[in-house]
Amino acid sequence: MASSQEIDAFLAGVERRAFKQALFTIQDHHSALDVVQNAMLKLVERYHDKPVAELAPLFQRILQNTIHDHFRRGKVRDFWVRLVSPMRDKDDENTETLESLAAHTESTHQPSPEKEASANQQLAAIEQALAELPQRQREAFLLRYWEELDVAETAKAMGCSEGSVKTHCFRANNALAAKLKDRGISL
Amino acid sequence: MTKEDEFAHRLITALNSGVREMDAATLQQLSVLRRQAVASQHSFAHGHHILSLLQRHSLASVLLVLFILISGYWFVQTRQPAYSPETDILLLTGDLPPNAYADKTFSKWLEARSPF
Repeated sequence: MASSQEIDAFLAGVERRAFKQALFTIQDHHSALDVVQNAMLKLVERYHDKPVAELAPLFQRILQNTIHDHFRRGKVRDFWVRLVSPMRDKDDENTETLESLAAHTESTHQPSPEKEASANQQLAAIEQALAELPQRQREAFLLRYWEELDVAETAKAMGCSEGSVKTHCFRANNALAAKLKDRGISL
Repeated sequence: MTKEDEFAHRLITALNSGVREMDAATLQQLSVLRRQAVASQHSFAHGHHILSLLQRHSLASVLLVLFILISGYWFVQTRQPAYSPETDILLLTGDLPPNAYADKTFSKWLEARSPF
């Protein structure tokens, strides 16, 4: 059974990467923090009696499920918003849609000029390329290479076969190489 | 190490440098969230023990609820209404309140008590 100190140390070791993983997928700072918080709480609630060595794959599985839940809830919310939207003022709706579209475009597809000019240009390009990957490919790539899980652990965390993990990783690598080449980034 | 693995590791090295340079405000928020989660360990371990047991054994929880509902229904259906001499008096004097006639068990009781 992991002690409070061991769980704290474990979470301190993974929290930054967990946040980045959530951010690559969700593209929203506050939602990514919410997801990480929920994943931490679920880990402590359900698995505080597990040895600390078993926590890494469990936490990754919880994190991936929490990210999926976030999107599922978003779909339900969008469904109700679409149902209610005809009742709203049309002008307001159009303005809001354009504003949110502009904000989304700005936040996800157009890095700021400062960012482009900074020394972090390469990192921004890599993060952008990762964010553009299909979700399952990104999950497989990050779990396999960033979290250093083996193929079997990655498959367990993703709830798929080991063959699927290898395929997702292969495709993710190829896609990332192509995207970075297009952006003129060489590693 | 394959060529694919080498490329992936170069990417991961770059990503790790980004993680190390994460902004202080986000790090502070993550630290607060972590402390809150670890602090909740005590309450999860003790305060919500029964709740977590029920969550883990959801089938048993459903069966328990069904058992309680069926038992309650069976008890209400088979319960014999208590005999009261006052009811006899009210019946003889015709002073029964109207809602006594709306009571489903009243007819059964009346038939059971009737000598005819």
